[in-house]
Amino acid sequence: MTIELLKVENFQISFKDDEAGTISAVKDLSFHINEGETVGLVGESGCGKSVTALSIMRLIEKNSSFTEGKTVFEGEDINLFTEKKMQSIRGNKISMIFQEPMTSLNPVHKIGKQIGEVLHLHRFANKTNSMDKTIEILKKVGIPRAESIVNEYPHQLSGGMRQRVMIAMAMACNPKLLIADEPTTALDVTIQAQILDLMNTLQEEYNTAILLITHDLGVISEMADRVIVMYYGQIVEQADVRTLFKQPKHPYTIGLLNSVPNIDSENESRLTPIDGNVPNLGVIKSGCPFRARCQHAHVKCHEENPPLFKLESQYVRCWLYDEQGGIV
Amino acid sequence: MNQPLLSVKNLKTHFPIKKKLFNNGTHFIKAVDGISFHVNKGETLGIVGESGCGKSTMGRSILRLIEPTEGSIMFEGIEVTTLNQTDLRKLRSKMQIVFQDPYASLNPKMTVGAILGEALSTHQLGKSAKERKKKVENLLLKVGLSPTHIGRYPHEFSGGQRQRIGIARAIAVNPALIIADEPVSALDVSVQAQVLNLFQDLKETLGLTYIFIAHDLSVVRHVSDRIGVMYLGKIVELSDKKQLFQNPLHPYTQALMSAVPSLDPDIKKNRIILTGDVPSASNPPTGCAFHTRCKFRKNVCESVNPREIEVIPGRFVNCHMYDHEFREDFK
Repeated sequence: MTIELLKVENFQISFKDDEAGTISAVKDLSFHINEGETVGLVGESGCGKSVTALSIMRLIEKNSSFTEGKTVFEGEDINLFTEKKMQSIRGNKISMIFQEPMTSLNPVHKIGKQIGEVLHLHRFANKTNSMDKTIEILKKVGIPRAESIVNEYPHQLSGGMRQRVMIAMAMACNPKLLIADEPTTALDVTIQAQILDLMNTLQEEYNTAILLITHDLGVISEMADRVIVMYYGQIVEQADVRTLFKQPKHPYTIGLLNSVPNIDSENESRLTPIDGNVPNLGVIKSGCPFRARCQHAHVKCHEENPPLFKLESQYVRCWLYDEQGGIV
Repeated sequence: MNQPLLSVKNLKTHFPIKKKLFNNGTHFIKAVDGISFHVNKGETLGIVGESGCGKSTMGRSILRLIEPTEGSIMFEGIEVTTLNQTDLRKLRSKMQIVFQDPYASLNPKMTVGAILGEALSTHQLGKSAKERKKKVENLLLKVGLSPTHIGRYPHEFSGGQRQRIGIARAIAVNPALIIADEPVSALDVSVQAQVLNLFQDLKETLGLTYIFIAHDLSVVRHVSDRIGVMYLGKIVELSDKKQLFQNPLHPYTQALMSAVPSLDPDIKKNRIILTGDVPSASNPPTGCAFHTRCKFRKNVCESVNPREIEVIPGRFVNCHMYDHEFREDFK
């Protein structure tokens, strides 16, 4: 039986800009994550995937941005929570790991102190046993010589080790949901394999749901149960991982998959790239934002932004599927 | 047999480091430590390896942008390592480099026209300013930009377009060899494919030869004819692309390949997970540099440096497992 853990409803995120007024970064974004499930959020730079993650955690500065919509977590809208209540959720029930572990760890505190702080804050440990618990957690994420690493600083560790520390910190309070924003992008492939393997093991053990944000389709194919493809701040396609990779429907998804050289195929032919570039945010005011790069673009694409159509096993935001499915 | 365009023998680039206050002996980071390979005219040699393996240093050492410590680099029959600055400068028009970061490798205060024009005038190509402008316009067309872009500054372009400018600058001087150092790793996938295709097109139309350095195995596989796998300053395996992917020999190559996630959700790879990190190049392990992470290691690996074994003609591997001399150790 699947239990819905997180539901994001109608996210609208926009930023104030001195020159351009308001720039909309995310539009009409709705999705859900079930308990123990891995949902992949994929898209190129600037598509709004990281902003979405930060908004779920309510980590976006209020002064410069507007966020609308609901974030229902375990049945409650956490957007309505007080900051104090939100703090009891962050790092506890929902935690997050970032792309660059060096910038997200505090360089002037020892590893042991940083992890101990999380445990302490959420009352998983007191002063006497926090060091033991920290060492136990570090061992769990496969850090050798955990007893001495607690007394080291982040700069003394390698990139892979730092990411393990980040994961240890994120998993310290046994969260229900782990948001991983490009967790392996800064790492070499052999280290990436270690980290992905670790995430899988921990997920099995704790039944943690993972929102995995990445631009790497290989990582998505390997890790995710369901996939959401974003372009220009919108979901353009959503499907289970097999359907998405075997029968992609949106021209952008198809284009992305054709752009990547496949490590497992001997196909020597030219790649089929998507023409042009991702337009800057705020440039496209109406119509489908992908139209300028789409081979199938027709009049309607210029006039009106397509809604998300529901097909048999996936959701697609494209007029090509107008007649085939109902509007969500 | 044709003479190779470039032939590198036992190339070493060591950087001195000062260790500690009371330690007088100078230590070295052996970034490139005894590399030999050749590149034939018209082929693409891919060099793949993880961060810190010395692949970029190797690329720069070949051009002598970093002075190599030891070894020989023969380019079109000329020994590059002993050339004086004047001759080296002349030779550089034959050997060009494309860098990883298109944001950092273009002067932000120069227009595209000036950037490309400078490359032309440095190598005395184009007699007059007018002729050079004509050439620049042609170059822009060749790399898929428009001649109207000539007066623009780098910041007005996207990452992919900037990389095209970097490529235009490299081909401006009619080189025979281009060393491309991670040319697509800063780009989004949809744009990466455009630039990879451009590399392929230019190779055909201009008869170029590439050394293509990248960490992304899928990209290297796509563009290369032959591939060298680097680990801690050494090429541990060098092979025809097809053979390398069908049957990787070196344990590191095997692990590297199995670590790359597949695009097919149905393929569940039998993954070899390497334990630990890449050791530091300032203090590499004794014997085989990979032995600390190798699951096949035997005593001999800890003490003896593996030699290069030609398993079949043109296919080299640096591993004791394939050495007759150590056959008994691996029984």
